[in-house]
Amino acid sequence: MNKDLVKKIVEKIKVEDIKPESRFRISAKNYAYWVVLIFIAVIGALFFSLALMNLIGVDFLYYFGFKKVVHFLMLTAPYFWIFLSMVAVTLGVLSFRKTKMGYRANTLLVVSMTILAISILSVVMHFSKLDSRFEKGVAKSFPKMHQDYMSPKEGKMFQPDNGVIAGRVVDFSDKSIFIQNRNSDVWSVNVSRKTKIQKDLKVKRGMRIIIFGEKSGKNSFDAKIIKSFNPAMKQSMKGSDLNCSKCKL
Amino acid sequence: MQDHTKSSDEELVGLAKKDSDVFEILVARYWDKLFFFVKRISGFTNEDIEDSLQEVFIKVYKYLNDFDSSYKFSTWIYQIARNTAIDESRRKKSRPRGIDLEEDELLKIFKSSVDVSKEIDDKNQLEKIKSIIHDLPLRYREIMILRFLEEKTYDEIIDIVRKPKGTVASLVSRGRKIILKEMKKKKIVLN
Repeated sequence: MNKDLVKKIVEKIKVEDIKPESRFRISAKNYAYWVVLIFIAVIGALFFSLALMNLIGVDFLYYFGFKKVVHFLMLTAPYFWIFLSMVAVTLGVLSFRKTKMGYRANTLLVVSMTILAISILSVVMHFSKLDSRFEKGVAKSFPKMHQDYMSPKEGKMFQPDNGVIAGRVVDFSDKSIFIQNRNSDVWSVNVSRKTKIQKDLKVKRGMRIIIFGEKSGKNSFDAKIIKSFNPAMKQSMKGSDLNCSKCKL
Repeated sequence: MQDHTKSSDEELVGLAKKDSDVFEILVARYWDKLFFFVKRISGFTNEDIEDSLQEVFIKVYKYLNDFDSSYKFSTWIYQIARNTAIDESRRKKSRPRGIDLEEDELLKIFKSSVDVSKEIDDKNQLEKIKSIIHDLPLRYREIMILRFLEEKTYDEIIDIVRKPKGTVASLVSRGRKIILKEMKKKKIVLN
């Protein structure tokens, strides 16, 4: 042991008047990680509730076989929100690890608890309709971004040969609905007594709808199920109603 | 000044907050231990280690209020010494150099890792063993050093390297596997 160096250290402490930092100041850093963690959990929960909202919005898939459900879920999954939720989980885990005792916890436990906390918060947000209010706000402020990344893509859901088409209503009568897809092609949708229409859905011009059924000819489609394509948007649509009281889903 | 040389680390921490002279006892108590620990994990020159240790003790003094008595003081100070050595290596933009271990230390790590109690006298085998330990990546090596040379418990290692228990256990296990694999490659037979 170098005694001179030991003495030198204590001398330096005295000469430079180094004092132990206050407990509060030291703890502030630890609190900061907790604040970041809570903030990330809230944001992550919002993203996850938006993903949930989009997934719940495709409840009509349960009328199809399992294979088709998986196929459509793969096509329409809200990847944007799922990705952001995963980013939030990762940042949440990293922030937790940075807290004073965070490194001691088992990784699986930390990940599970973070996912659980975000999931519970997201369900609360979903039931308090924070997610749909947020999505409406984004749709209003950033319509292009919303259309391209956040809502289920209309283009993905336009697959007549796979039994599904989606688009905007341009006109309708008792037996037909005319929709326009994103390529501006107009399709005639044939509505019959057997067609199931989403409860409380009033078809209006300008509304985005999704139709399940069969292709019956060029730009013609026989509808089995008709649903609103983006429930969060339907209140802002204008136009006259399609009267179809006999064929509610 | 009252004689505190027989006081526990934790008692000295409490006293040092009010009287910096008491801190000298802690510095003297840990100087050699930390000197060899930093030397083993970093391969710094003696001068670099001395500089690094000065920084460590100043940090320890500055953050005395951060010391949590649920830890052992030795664990906390090892943690600071390790982090300072790593920061120092980064600052110098150099990976920690090859290890600086005595022959008996090398053998102790090796024998504890592969559960061998037999003496190894063959010079050729000894050289091969040295090169195996020497080439171990730092993350395994530092855990092996803490476990088998510093003889720290798993709980202490977890707090020193700030990694979860599973990660530490798997680093020890993988480190052992690497050593066994290299033994096979280099055709070292100890039975």
